[in-house]
Amino acid sequence: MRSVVMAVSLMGPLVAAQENARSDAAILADAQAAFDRGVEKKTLLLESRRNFAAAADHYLELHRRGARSPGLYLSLGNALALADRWPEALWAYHMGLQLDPNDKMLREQLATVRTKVIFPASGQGRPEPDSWPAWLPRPRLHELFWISLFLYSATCVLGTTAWLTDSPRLKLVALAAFVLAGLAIFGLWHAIIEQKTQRDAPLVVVAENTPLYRGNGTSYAVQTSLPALPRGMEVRQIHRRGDWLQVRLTTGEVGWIPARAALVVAIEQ
Amino acid sequence: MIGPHILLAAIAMLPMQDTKSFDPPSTGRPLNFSNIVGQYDIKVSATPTEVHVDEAIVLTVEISGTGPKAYEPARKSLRLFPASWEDDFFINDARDAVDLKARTWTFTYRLKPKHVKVKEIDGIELVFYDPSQNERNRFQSRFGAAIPLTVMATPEKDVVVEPLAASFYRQSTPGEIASAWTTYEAPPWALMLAIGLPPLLCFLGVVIYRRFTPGDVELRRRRRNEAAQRALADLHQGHDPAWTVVAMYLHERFDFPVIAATPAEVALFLKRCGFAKPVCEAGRTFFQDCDSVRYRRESSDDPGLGAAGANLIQALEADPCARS
Repeated sequence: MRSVVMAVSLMGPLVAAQENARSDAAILADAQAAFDRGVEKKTLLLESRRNFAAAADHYLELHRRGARSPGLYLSLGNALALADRWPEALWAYHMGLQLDPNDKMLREQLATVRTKVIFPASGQGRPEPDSWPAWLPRPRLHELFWISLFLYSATCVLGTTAWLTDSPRLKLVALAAFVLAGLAIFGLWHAIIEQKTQRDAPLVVVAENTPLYRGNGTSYAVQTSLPALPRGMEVRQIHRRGDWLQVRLTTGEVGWIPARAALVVAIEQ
Repeated sequence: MIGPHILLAAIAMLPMQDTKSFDPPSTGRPLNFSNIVGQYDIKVSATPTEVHVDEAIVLTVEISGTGPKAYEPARKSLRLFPASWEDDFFINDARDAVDLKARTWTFTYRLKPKHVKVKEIDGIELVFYDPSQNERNRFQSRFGAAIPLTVMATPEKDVVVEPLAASFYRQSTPGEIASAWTTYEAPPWALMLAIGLPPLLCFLGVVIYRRFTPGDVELRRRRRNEAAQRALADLHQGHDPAWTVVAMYLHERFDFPVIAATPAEVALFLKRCGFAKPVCEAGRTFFQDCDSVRYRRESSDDPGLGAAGANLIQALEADPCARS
């Protein structure tokens, strides 16, 4: 009996080591093969879902190993959506958009999957409409930083030159550069504030239908205005206490949900 | 001798109040006692016996026998199935049938096997109370015969599902997946540097520009400084008369308009320029001394004038008015 226990205790790390020993390329190949099998059998619902779920698990393993790319999250999101694990798919698309806000495919998939969420009839917790014009690219923080720095430096140089040479034309150019630099710096400031908001109050996707409690425990009463959050609802985490998250809905309601029922959108490098 | 069957038949004929003597004891009952008193037997049958998981099997349980009316078989009291069936079957009640002439009660159930490991319907036990037995053996059991089952996995059927958009069936290429992306966070020092560096570089640029391309004011200032140096050198060498050198110095340095000026004109000019009174008086004295040397009949050379001129120039340069 003792030897059996010892063998089991030794086998556990061995199996884990074998899994770790697999290269990322091998896991990726497995994921893509499982996805392709799912596509081949898409007429067989259960069979295809099994394959897509396997592909999603392989992609999640890559995520756990530290892979971070919009391509990974697009594939992961698609596999999860096809495996009918669409709250996780929402999470994956959000993760991809955190890396590349200009990825149109990710945004379209996100919008499609969002339609599966069954929101309360009163409309609580519906995601806010995206006010960013579709034709306008969404600059990333580092792009805004370099654009702002360039325009600010150009303004300084042009302004100084205009002052030294007393040239009216240069003064006009410097004024234009000043206006553009102001706009770029405003955009940079806005992006920094948004990043800070995302860090302090990260987006959370509700993974399963869960009651919305008034406190961090099941002994607390549920919220009367919204007793439960549907799976797939997107909320903001404003506080964490142990295994409980305090969340705020887009319509302002605040409550607590268990952390196991939440998928936090946060890029950890 | 009265046989047990006759005894039980007589019991069955008795009115309700007379059955009390045949009541089963309220303590010591088996857990699966079906609240039946008398002598009974059980038969079971099931159809079909080859099913898939979650498909219904109709199980018929036939109980026959005699006993007092108050303790005849009734569905709500029956405890036929073992507890282990909870893991193996979903059980639903179906219809009942009673044939009092034949003393037969038929109960029908719908069983749905939960998994493929279910191999038989077994363990159906009817526990009843038989008062005709000796006291130890009055709780009797009868078992239904085991019915072998074949349970197969649920076949997958082609399910017509509303397909997701074709874009969901797309995967990223390995290259897209492997590309490393990071989120950028502007550190505060980088922001401070970005704010402070361009103006600092511009300031340095202005300083350098001014050094290599001086403006009119700077050029004038430099020229005037050079005028003082040149005048002092000329006075030291003594080639030109001291009054000429000093007058030229005043012209170059302070834009004094007259070359051959009188001492009064020089003093007035210096006063208007804002020089201190002693400096103005020194100017006047120097030019008076110069005039006295210039217009005397003897030699016009006076080595002391050169030193006096140099002293006057140094006094003028030291005055705050000259520096401004």
